[in-house]
Amino acid sequence: MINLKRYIYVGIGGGIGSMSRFGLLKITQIETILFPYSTILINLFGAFILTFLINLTCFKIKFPKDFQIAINVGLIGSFTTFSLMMTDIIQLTNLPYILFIYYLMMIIGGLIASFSAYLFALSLNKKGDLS
Amino acid sequence: MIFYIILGGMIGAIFRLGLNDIFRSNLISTWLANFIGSLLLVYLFSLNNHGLISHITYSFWGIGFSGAFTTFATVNNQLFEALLNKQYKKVLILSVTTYLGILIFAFLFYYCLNFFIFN
Repeated sequence: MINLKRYIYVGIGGGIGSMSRFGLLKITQIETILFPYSTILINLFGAFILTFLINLTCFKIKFPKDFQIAINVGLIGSFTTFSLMMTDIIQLTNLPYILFIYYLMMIIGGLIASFSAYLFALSLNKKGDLS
Repeated sequence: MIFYIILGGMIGAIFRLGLNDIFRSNLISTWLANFIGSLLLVYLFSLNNHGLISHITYSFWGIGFSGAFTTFATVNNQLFEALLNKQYKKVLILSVTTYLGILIFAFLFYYCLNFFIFN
């Protein structure tokens, strides 16, 4: 069974996500700096928000499933990108040390972002239980 | 131009959800989306380097579709959850197939394109 409403929601989320990604890239990346820090910024921010929402109890309870998927799969999925990371790396081939640092910042940074988002969500969940 | 990016992004996200519905397994569908989307962007990137592609086509397929079709947050979260649950074998498979595997394919594809087609 294909849930058509879900596809429409995810499409809208995807449009907003791509637009924000492009806007942020244009705003934050200074063209004279070759290091593609904007991609790191976007991916780590998206990674933080996704893990935060997945572990936040009130997000899962209060919002309908289709809306959650529109945010998690549509908006954040489109906002963060894997393909841009690949072309960034191809452009850094001549600078292997910087390439290595870039990739490490992305992978390890993503896990750190997820871990802090997880702890943040857990602390908010606890607060919600007490009140 | 922003219109083409939004349109491409909508279609990319819908295709990723479609893959998700086909495969049932999030791990396989996310890997496949990242793999296909990365190769697509590498191809467009090579075309763009040689001035063989219009701005609109690159905006729609590259920034919009391929950018939205591929995702970092989901892979990262899968990896994080596997680490949290101490599923170290899954951590190893996920990180090697995604972070190393797709990168190697992207590089190979890029050099093959430039060697055989754009030389």
